Amino acid sequence: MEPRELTLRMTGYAPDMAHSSSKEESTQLLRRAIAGDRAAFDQIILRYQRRALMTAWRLLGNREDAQDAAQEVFLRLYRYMHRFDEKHDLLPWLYRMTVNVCHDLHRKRSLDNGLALEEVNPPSTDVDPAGEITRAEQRRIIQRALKTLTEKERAAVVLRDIEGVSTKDVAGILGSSETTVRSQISSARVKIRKFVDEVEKRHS
Amino acid sequence: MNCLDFEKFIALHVEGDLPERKGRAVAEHLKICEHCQEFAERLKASQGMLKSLAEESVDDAVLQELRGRVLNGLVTETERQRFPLWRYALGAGLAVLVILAATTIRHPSKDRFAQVSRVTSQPPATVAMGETPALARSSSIRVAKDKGVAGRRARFRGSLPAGAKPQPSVQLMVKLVTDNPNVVVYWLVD
Repeated sequence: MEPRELTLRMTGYAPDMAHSSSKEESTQLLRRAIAGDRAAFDQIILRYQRRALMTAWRLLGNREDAQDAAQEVFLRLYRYMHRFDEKHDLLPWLYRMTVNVCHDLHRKRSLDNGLALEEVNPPSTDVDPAGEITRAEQRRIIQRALKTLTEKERAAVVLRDIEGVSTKDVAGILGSSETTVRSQISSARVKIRKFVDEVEKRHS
Repeated sequence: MNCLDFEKFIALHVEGDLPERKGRAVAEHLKICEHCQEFAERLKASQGMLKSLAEESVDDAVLQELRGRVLNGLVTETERQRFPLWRYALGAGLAVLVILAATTIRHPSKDRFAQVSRVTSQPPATVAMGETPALARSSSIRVAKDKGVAGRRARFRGSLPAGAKPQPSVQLMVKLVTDNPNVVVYWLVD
């Protein structure tokens, strides 16, 4: 039985072997989980839930939706873990599932993909005595800036700049070429910079 | 290439995401272009803001809630794997077929009744013993003229000798009455 919407195969994807011990542990846990060990799957949840939740939050811009998405990611992992290819790392597979789940959820809930600059409130409350935008406010601005990006740009820049995944691995996760991903990342960074410029201009 | 064209390369260069050759070209341009230098500095600042999102923490309570939801979902998921939906659909389909078959056997269709009633609507008149019924009268008895196939046929039919005058045959009609008043079976026997 082949689920339609799921494109979870990691074709052409070969991650770096930087965290081989962690990879080996994850693979062992997954093997035990496939054999029916619920405690092993619980360990996988504990190990990856923070990443799944935070990535989903960046991609969806909403913590409640992110929780729904993260839950669905682990349920899909449980459903399809027997298909996991042990030659690969579990983390990129999870990232890919997260991106797919967020894409599905985004489409389902018809979230507002673009937030006009006019809708952004100028930072007025979180300004320190020196007149500088506080760190918390900076994060809020960046969150809003992320919403101005296209879905693909957002996925690329979140994985590369926030999750710290290499460009090559981002290309593998998103199923795109490195050139395409580089172009999306570049465009996203420039858009974010310009968004911040606009907000700072209003603030000043 | 003007400075606007350089923007997209600078956006990659500040994070070391450009291939070496292109990276060198951008670095050379930055040495001589103040506008692009300033843009690169501003990009580094916004990249710092973007990366600071990675430092954000999540409450343990939120993670606990998520874990609880997943573990609860696994129970449903296990049930679903054990009894997939297609099995329920197949079971329901078979049940419907059995019910339909049972209903049809207990209550035959009205058409079949109608057909039977048409057949039996005009039963042949009751024939007394010894009297030739209309069906028997209309049939002729062949006389074997010679031996051979005809002779064998004659023997089969009663073996009348040549020249003998055929006698009317005696036929017996059996009337079978059933519980159903519409169903009466007549059986003619030579």
